Amino acid sequence: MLSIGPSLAQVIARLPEDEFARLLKNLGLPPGPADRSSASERITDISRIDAQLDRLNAESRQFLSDLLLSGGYLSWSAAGKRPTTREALAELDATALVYHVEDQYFGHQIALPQEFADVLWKRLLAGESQSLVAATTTPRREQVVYDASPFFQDLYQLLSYARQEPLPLTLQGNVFKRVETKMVQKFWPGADRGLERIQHLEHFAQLHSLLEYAQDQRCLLVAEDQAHQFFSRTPGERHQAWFDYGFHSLSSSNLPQLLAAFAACLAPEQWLDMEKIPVWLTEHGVVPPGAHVNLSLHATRLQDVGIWEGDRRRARLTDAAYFAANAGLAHPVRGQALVQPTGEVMVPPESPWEERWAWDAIASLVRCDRMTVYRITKEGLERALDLGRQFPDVLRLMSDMSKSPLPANVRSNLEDWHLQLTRHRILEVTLVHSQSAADSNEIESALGPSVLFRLSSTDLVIPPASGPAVIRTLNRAGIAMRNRIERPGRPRADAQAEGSWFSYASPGLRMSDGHQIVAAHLIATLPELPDYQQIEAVVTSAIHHRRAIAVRHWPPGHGAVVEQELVPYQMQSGWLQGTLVGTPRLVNIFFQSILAAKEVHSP
Amino acid sequence: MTRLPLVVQSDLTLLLEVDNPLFEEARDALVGFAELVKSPEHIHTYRLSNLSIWNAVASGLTPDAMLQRLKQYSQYPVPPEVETFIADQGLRYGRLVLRVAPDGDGLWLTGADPTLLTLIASHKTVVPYLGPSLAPGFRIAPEMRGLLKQALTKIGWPVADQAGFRSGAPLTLALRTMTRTGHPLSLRDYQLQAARAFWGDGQSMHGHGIVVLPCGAGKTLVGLGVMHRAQTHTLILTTSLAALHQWRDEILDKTSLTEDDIAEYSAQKKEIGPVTLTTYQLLSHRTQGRFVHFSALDAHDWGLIIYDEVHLLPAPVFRLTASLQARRRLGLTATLIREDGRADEVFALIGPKRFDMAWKQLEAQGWIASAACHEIRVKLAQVHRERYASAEDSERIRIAAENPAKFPVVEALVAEHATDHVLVIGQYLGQLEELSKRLQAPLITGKTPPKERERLYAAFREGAIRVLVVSKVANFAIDLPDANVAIQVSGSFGSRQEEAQRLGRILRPKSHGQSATFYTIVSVETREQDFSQKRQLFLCEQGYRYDVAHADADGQPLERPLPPIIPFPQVVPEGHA
Repeated sequence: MLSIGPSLAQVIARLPEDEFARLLKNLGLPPGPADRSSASERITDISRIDAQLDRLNAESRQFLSDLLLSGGYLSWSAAGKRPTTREALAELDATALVYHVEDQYFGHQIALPQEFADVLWKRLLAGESQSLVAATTTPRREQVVYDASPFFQDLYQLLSYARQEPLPLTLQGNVFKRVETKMVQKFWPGADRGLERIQHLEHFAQLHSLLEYAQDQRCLLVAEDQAHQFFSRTPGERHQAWFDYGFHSLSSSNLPQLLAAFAACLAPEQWLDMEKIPVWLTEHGVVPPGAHVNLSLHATRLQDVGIWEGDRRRARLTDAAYFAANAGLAHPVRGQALVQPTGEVMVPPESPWEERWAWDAIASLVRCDRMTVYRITKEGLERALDLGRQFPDVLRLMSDMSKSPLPANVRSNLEDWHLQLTRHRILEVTLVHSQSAADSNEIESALGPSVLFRLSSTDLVIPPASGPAVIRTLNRAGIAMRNRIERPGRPRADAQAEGSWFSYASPGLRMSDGHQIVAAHLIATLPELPDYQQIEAVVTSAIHHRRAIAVRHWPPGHGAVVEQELVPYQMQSGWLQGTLVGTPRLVNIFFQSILAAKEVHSP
Repeated sequence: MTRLPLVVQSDLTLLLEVDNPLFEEARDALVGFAELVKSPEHIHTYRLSNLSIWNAVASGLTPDAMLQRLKQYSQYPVPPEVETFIADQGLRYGRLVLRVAPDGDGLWLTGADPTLLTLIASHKTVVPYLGPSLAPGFRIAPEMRGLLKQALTKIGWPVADQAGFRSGAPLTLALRTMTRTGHPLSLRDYQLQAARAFWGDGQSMHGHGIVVLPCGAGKTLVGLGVMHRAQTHTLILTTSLAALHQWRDEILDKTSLTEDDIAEYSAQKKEIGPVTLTTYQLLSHRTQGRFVHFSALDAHDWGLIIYDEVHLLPAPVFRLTASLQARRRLGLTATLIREDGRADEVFALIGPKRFDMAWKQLEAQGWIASAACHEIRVKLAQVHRERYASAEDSERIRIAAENPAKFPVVEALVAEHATDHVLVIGQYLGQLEELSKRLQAPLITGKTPPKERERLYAAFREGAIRVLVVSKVANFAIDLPDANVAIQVSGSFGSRQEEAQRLGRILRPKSHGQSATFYTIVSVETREQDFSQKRQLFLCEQGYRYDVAHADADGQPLERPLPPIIPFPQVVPEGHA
């Protein structure tokens, strides 16, 4: 559940070859270029981690706890301020639990990969939860939680709605409030904070590319492939995406997930005493003494996305979040739907989301509840045909997803509707329209087999996706034409630009925590930790007296420590500026990359 | 762990899985506080409503007990919304009580909660029916009793009516053990249960309400059972003269009453007797703005009023019923569907639903005939298709309904059922007259004189006539025990209730245990086909299945292969050009 630190895959992929070879040796694995995945498996092996933890001394365990509480990252400066960091890191070097990473090119952090977070939290901090428990208990309403948590039900309803009515956007790129209000009325009539809920769902859907922008209509459409993939993911992956959203999108603070992590370690019936939390956070240095901790703000946001329940005095994870965090979700069961002669389809909560999404494509959603109810309608069949499904596939899909055979009258209705819907069809094809028959003939001979058939003396039909290739062919043949395909009217999602803001959640479901790891190193390669107070004093004095200083620093992307002598002349916006000794060359050194500085005494 | 049969939805719907060993147990547990909405093959749907909760509380079931029953059979936890609803609505019933005033002068609306009394006294829809203050509460004029109850129900504060009923003039009535026609008679279990559910302990908590039973299940006998318990002068309201006469015949056949005890108050006769039969039409007839017949009948000392086919209760009778609150009232119907959405007024003025039983349950017990339903979709000939395409909406419905291609289909079906008793039912006179000619069968419509109608019904019952063509006049309350085939050639739009009533004509159990066959013939790819889907919904919800067949524009059976798909142009891979 915890979503802190970089992913292990990110770290392992960015280790230099020599350090990776050393890591393999530490793990007792044979060296080899293709061993990065087996190394990851070995590193994340729970029994290995348990054994490592058992051997660690108190300082190292405390260091790991601090790392967890600080969100999986500890900057050099913060690490340097801890009295026992050096000793702890020396011991942790062989464990492969912590790494030194270069973050966003200029930053240096000691990082704990997220794969270790849950297991370390349970070993090192779960006991702390008991000191935060409220006096009262309430049994959980849900004893068995299916993969049908309210958040995903709501998301599903939003996507189902958008499948039928694309979401129109304002000039500012927001969904029109009247549309959001309509959805709120439909999904949760009379509920509090409905608009906030719907906006979170829209945001989540866009972050995961489940909704795509159609420029020509200024609306959001369901990205069918992405949505299918999303609903086909394992419950664990989907729930982690939910937690990530709750922890990272709503707040830049680490507090929401600390709250959630404490709550996940409680017994099912227990609550956290919210009044004890600020005291604990201050005592453990998570927040500075005297700082105001606005827990209710974080709690409200988590409540909006269905992770949190309770009030100002006591709170805990919702049933769905609690069981998801503790891997307590029941396994989905396929093929459980019941189709009634009335055309109603009853889909129980144990059915996988993938199946429900498939039902949504071929039937009309009536109600998303404990039992999700659909109705087989002509409109549903039409939607299935629109999505490219063939009629026999629709019938087969319905049979495959049902416990009982399709009732004969329902089947007859489907056949009749299919007959009505497909007897006449409007095809969208790509036409090459020419001014005259002679021009059209010229193009026909230039395109050769690319022409499917001639529609009229001036119109040729070519395959829908072949427009750009046809333009290129005609250009090569010396036939000039406009370099664009005219598309009147139809809403169409734009292709996602590589690296656009939409895609930062891809390829997996985990959301970025704001850090971008550009390089990683084993702890053993970590140089001395800086004492920034001392460095600042040295630099300020040197500027004042116009003296040279020797600076040890780790330049971005360099992979090793560099020592340079320079005459500093100013510190500005986190950068130290000066000239290299003996040259007129100007240098800029990112202050946070400096490990040590000392005055250079003239011989 | 065994799967439990119930799923409680947050919208107050209860879904009960039929293929579950605990199905029957759970169904019996729900009956007291949830209304059966539909009972198709796999999952039966019940609904909790404020009325169902109030009814349950009125019959002594506590909100906690209701919740306990839900929890006992629910596969998934009961949603909190449902718990809140039951608790909230359960507390509402009984907070206001209507009693005879302590000084005997009229009635007294009272309650222990002074805030609630203040609240209702400030409600403008209730104020007109409140009399002067009579602490704690208000004095109520007896004639306002029904209207007050109706208004309080509408604002969500149902009143527990403990003012009692007028006992009515006594009438000695016994049920025969052997009918006059020589058949042994005893009420079936469900008929006894229905009568008991209505009557209760004879106190004011009961004695008003509705019994819902399928056509052919013997609702009249439930009425006789209640009359037997009441032993009082009874007014029976029916839908037509033919139905009135059927009631009269049944009473004579199955009770100790004689012809002298039974009076007919109709257009022809204006008699009032210990048991008086009349029609809704007559009761709501006005002369110079006055309901003259109602006034005449209201003057008599009735102890019981029976509303046959209560779902058809016309609006004026609703208003009149409001003034009959001091009498016991029994509503009988096969479907509580009111297309005008006035079900809550039925609750307030006649009373709550006291008994209901699924059609298929009675079929399984052999009390109604099993029925096979078929829909035959007939093509429109080209010439009619063109007319249909260019016609106005209302005209199109008629063109589809009167599709001439239906005639050969009906002829073929009648020939197929050469030894059966066939009813051909339709909406449009021209179509029915043509069918009557083609089939050489008599026709009954609204224009047919009552005597002629009854003669034809009697001839059909006796087997002298094998095929009868009827208009919508035969939709209700006509007992044709041997009819075993019904062919519906047209109907009124999407009326679910009409479809159910028409099937009901052939559901009376057959002497040789034969099953019944119901055909509905619709024009394919027209509005009629859409209406047909809606019409069938109620019966599908009751567990009936329609087989579908097709016929061409000549009425000949049509095998329809799936239509060929118009191929889309194949996509040429990029770079091919």
